[in-house]
Amino acid sequence: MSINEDEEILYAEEVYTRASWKKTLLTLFLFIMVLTLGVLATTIGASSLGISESLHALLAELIPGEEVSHFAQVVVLQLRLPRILMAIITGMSLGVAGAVMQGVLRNPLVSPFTLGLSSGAACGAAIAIVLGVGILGTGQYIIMINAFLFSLLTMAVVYGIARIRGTSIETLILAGVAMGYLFSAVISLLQYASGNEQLREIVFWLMGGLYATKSESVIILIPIVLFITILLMRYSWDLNAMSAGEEVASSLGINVSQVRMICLFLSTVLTASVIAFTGIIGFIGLVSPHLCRLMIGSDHRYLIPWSGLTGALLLLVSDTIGRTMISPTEIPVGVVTSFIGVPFFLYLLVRRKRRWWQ
Amino acid sequence: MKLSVKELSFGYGSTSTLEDITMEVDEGKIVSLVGPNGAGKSTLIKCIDRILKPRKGTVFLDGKQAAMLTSKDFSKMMGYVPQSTHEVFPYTVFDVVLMGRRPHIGWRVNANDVKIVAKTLKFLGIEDFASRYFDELSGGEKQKIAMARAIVQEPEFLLLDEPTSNLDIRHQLEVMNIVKKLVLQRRISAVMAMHDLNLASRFSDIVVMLKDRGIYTMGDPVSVLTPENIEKVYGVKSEVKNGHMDRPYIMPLEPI
Amino acid sequence: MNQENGYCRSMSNEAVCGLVGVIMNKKKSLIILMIASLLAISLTVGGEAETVKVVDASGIYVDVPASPERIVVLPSTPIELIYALGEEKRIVGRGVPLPAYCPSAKDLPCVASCSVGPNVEAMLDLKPDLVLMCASNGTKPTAALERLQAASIPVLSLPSSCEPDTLLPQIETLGLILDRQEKANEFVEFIEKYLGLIEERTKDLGPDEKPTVYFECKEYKTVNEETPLQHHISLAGGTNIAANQSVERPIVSSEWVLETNPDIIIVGVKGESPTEEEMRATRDEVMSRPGLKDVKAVRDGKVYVISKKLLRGIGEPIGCLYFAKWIHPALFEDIDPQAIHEEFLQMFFGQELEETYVY
Repeated sequence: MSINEDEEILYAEEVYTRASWKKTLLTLFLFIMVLTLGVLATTIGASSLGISESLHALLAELIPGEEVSHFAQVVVLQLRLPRILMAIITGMSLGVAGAVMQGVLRNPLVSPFTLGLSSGAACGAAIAIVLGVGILGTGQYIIMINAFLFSLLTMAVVYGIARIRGTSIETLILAGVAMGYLFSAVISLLQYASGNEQLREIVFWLMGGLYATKSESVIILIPIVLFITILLMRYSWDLNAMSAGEEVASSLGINVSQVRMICLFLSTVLTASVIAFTGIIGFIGLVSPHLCRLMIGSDHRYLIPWSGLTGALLLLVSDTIGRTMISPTEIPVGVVTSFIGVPFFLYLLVRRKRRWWQ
Repeated sequence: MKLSVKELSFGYGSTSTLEDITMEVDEGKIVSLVGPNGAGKSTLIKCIDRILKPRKGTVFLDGKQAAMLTSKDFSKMMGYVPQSTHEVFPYTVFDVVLMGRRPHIGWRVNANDVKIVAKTLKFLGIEDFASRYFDELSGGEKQKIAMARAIVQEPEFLLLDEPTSNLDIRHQLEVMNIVKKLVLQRRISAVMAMHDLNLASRFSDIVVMLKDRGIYTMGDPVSVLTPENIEKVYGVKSEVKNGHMDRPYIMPLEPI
Repeated sequence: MNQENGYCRSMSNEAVCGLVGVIMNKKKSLIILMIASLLAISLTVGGEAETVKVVDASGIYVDVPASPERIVVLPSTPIELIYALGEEKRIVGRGVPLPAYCPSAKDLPCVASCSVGPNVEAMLDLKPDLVLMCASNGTKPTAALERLQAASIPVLSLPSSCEPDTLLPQIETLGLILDRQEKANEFVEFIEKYLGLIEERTKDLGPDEKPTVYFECKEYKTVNEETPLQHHISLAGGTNIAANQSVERPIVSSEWVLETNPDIIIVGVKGESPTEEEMRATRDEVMSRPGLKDVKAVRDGKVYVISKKLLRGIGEPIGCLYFAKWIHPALFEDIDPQAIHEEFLQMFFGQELEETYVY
C-alpha cells in the first residue's frame, strides 16, 4: 500500500488509463493491419501480375503521371480491389452485428444464424430462385432484394413473437431458432421441388462467396455499413450496462426494450444488406466477437470496432487464400474461414489469456 | 431530498402484489423493508426505481413526480443494487463500476469519471480488484462492486434489494457499514429490502413491515420489531432482547 | 483427345446384327468403355416371350422384353430418343428434368425427382413392362433397381446422358428394343454425318490453330476436361482454357480469365426455355463485366450464348455444330447449324424451329 492517499487513488486510475490507451493503440494497430493486408491482398492473385506492378497500379490512382499497363490497372482496380473491399466490409458487418446481437441479448451463442436471419435470407433467395417471385421488383436483383427483405421480416416476426411475452431474451432467441428451422424446412421443400439447375443455384447461394463482387455493390454497401456501425457504436455504453441485466441497465437510465429493438434492427439491416450480396457466410458473426472478447475484453466501446475489424481481417485473409491457393480455381470462402478461424478460436479458448492490453 | 410513495399498487395481470403503499423517506435515513417472502419488498424497490411500472399511485421526489423525469435524470438520483449480479461476458471490475457513470457521460469517458470510480473503489477498499475480472470474484466482493456501481451514479437515494443475502457475516457487516457510511457522509438515503431482522434493526432508522401486499406497520426499530408484530407478520414466536446499541435483538423461537 | 475418339460409325450397321460398337478413349477405363458400348448383342426369338439381349450401363448382358408396351423412362434423353423413333405412346411415366422437343411428355406421370430419386411405388403403380433408368446418380437408383427387380419388373440401366458419346449407342439399343432399327439408323446416320464432318475438318488442326475457349455456366463457373463440354469444345477444334483444373466445375478467378485472354466465350444460359431477350441480357452482362471487357473474345464480339437444350441429350450434336461454327467460322462457312437444327426437328419430331437456342 502506498503512503500518500492521492497516489493510492491514482493506482486504479492509472491502471485503467493505461489499459484504455493500450486498447486504443491495439485498435489502431488492428485497423492498420487490415489496411496493410488489404493492400497486400491487391498484389496477389491468379494472374502473373507482379507485386511491384500491382502496387504501381494502385499508386497510379493516387499519383498522377505514374504509368501502368492497362492490364494491371484492370486487374488491380476493377477485379481485386472491389473484392478486397467487399471482403473487408462483409467481414466487418458480420463481426459488428454479431457483437451487438450477443451483447444486446446477453447470450454468447447468438449470431445472425441462431436468430434465423441467415435462414430467412436464404429462404427469400430460394423462393426467388425457384419460384421467380420476389416481394419487390423483378429481374436480376430479385434474389438480393428478396434475401434482404426476408431477413428483415424474420427479425420482425421473431421480435413480434418475443414482444407478446414482454421481450424476454430467452423467448426471442428461441423464436429465432424456431424461425430458423421453419425457414430451413421451406428451403428443403424448395430444394426438393426444384429442378437440377435451381438446386445448384440454391446450394451455391447457401455457400456464399465474394467472387462475383461488382464495384457497384461495394459502393452501395460502404456507406450503409459505416453509418450503421457508427450508430451502433453509440450504443456501446448501453450494451455494457445491459450485460449486467435488464434491471441494472434500466436503473442506469437505459430504456432497455427500446435499445434492444434499435440495436437488433440495425444489426439485422447490417447483416441482411451484406448477405444479400454475398450469400450466406457463417461463422464470422458468431466467432469474431468471442475472439475479440478473449483479446480485448467485453467493453463494447472497443469490442464493436474490434469485432468488426477482426471479422474483416478473417474474411479478407480467408478470401485471399481461397482465391489464390489452387488458383485459378477458387475455394469457397466459407470453407477457408472455418479452417482458419476455428483452430485459432480453439487455441485462444484453451489458452484463455484474456489480458492482451495489460 | 425526500422520497414519498403515495397509494402505490402493482400487479401482474389479474394478480396484485402491492396495494396502496404510502410511505416517506427523509434525507439521510436508512429505511429497511422487512416482511415474509412474497410480501412485496423487492417489488416495492423496483417500483420506486421505475424498473417496474406501478399500476397506480405515484412516487414523488421532493414533491415532484418521479415518473415525469427523463430516465437519465432519474437515474442520477436513484442508485440500484440488485440482489445478485451476473455478468455473461468477462468485464473487469473497473469496467463494471464505470457503467454506473452511464447517466453522466456521453460516449467518451473523461478523467473525472475515472477519478470518481477510482475513489469509490478506494472508499470500498477494493481498488486492488480494479483490473480483475468480475466473474472471478466471490459473492461478497461482487456485492461490493455492485454497490460501487450504484455509488458512482452519485445518487440521492440508494435502493438495495436484499444486499446481505448470500453473504458471510463479515461481508454482511462490511456491506451494511458501507451503506451507513455513505448515508452519513453524503447525506443520501437508503431503502433496503431485508431478510435479516437483526441487521435491519441494527442499521435502520426506520423499519417498514410489509404483510399481504400492504404495509403492516412502520416506525423506528424498537416500535416495529416487537414479538407481537413478528408473530402477526411472520407467524413466528420470538423473543426480542435489548441488543447492541440498544437496538432490538430478535431471537426466533418456533413457527406457530 | 485422340483421333480414335470419334464415332466408329462404320460398325454401326453391323451393331444392329449383334456387334458391339466400341468408342475408344484413352482416358476412360475399361468399365467406361463398356458402359459406352451399350449396344444390342442379339435378338432372341424364343417361343412366345420375345426378349432382346442388350448390354446395360455396367456392361452386363441383360434380357429385356422386345416391344414393351408400357415403359417408364426416368432419364430425359431416352424419352427424347423414343419420341424421335416415333414410339412415344409406349411411355407411361417419366422422371425429371422434362425432355426437350417432347411437348406431350409433361403430361406423363412423374415418378422421380432430382433430390430423392425414383419412387418405386409410383412406378409399380404404372404397371410397366420395362423401366429405363440412369445409372449415374449415386446409390438411390441402385436401391430402386433392386426393388424393381424384386417385383420382377425388367429394368435396363442406361449410361448417364452426361457422358459424351452415349447418344448413338442408346438410340441403337432403343431401336432394337422397340423394333424400330430403321428409324434408329436414320437418326444415327443423320447425326454421324455432321459429327463426322466436324471431326474431319478439325482433326488435323495443330495446337496453334485451336482458338482458346472459355465456357461459362454461371458467373465465373466453368468446366474442366472431365465434363461433356470438354468433348464439345475439343471436337469443335477449340482449347478449353480450364481443361486442367482439378475441380470438375470450378469457379475460376476473374483475373486469370482476363490474363488467359480467350478467343471465344460461350455462355450456357440459365433456364429451361430462355427467350431471345434473356439471352441478349446474358450476353450483355458477360460483355460488360469489368474483368472481361478487354478480353479478345469480347473485343472481337465472339461471345455466344447457348441454350442448355443444346448442351445435353439429343440436342448435343446440334450444340457441337454451333461450337464448331463459332470456333472455326472459316472452316464451317458452308454449314448453317440453324438449318440443320430445323431439318433435324422436322425429320424426327415433326416440329418447326420456334424457340431461340443461341444468341
